[in-house]
Amino acid sequence: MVVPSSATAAIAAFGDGAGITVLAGGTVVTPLVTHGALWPHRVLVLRAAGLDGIEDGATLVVGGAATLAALAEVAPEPLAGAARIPDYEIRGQATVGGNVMIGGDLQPALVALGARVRSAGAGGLRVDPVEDFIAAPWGRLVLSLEVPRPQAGAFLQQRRRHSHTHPVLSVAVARRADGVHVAVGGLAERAPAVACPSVERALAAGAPVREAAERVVEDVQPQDDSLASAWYRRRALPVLVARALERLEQLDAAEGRR
Amino acid sequence: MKFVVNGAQHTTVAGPLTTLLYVLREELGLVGAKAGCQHGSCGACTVLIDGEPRRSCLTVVATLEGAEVTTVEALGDRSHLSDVQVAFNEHYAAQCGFCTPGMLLAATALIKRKGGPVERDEVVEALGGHYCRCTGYVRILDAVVAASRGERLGAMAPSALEIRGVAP
Repeated sequence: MVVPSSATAAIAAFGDGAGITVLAGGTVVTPLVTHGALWPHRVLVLRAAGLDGIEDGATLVVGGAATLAALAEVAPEPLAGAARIPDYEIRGQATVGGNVMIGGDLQPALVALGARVRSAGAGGLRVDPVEDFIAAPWGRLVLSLEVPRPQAGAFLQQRRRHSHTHPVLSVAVARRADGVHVAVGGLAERAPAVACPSVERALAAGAPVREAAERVVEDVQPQDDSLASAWYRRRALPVLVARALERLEQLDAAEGRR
Repeated sequence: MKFVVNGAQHTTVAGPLTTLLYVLREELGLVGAKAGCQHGSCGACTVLIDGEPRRSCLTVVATLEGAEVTTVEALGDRSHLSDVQVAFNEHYAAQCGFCTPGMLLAATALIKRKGGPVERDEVVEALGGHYCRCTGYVRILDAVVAASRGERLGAMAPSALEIRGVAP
């Protein structure tokens, strides 16, 4: 077990990530160890590594070991909404980096916001667009997220009753300087979130919200899993996207943007 | 690894990936924190770590150096119940009692955080990670709101021990 006391030491201990289990908040790793599903060779404990800092500004910089509770305090929508999904205790314990690694609720929000992920691992430090990072996150240590602040945003989620299951579907929308961005998550268990360029193009071309939202099925490949069928996801997704976009329109109207 | 449990220094002999829940129950004999789902979902193992409610089943020894842990055992005892415990009793907010320690600690932390009366939806939000399969939650919400307002009904339900004549 390694408990580094600086980011530099954490990066050195992580190396290329081979054979190392990262323990930050412990909400994912601990149950696996408790129930015997994971027998870690080496454990990197991030508790004292100083990776939990948050720098507020035009771009929000959030340390990989910052908690969801800390993120929800400062993040713009749709990210704050996504960070508030789990219950009070889990928010205070679960970390931003862990959530991104396991395909958590933050992913669609980060995609819609055009966030970047700073990570360490084989080949050294890297900064990737979040979409590229979440497509192949393994072997990387999330150091921080860089989140540009949007003009407005909204997050919506369709869940089963149990607050800790993966979402059936989640939708994040953000109005950025170059237009409205849409991303969805929960297309299958632990499937990475994806951007919805067809919806974005339709909106940019002036299509009404409901019509643009229908295009979402061109951007996604939903799967059957224990939470919902692909059929259901294809039917429900345009409705959720339309609702999120309507929320954005309401925010725009309230703030006199359009 | 050294940390404080209910005001007393404790040096654990458990390995670094052992959960705090295990240390409390098996090493210290403090069985107030319940081993429910043991993956963070049910809330029954909730304790206070440095004053904040946390899942002891998700917290491993390796992250506890210097921490201050409070369990339901330190909240009050039969002759000196805490305000939240009194409210739970008066409002019949406990039935089987399995979720009660976690509920009590999360509610105590909520009331301390707010520093005054809390609204019903704030209680729902703060206790949203705690399952109760008996009460239907309504009486728990009643109790926490009442405790936050310092309200007392003045009529305590008799304890099981009192009913059996074991305790006065």
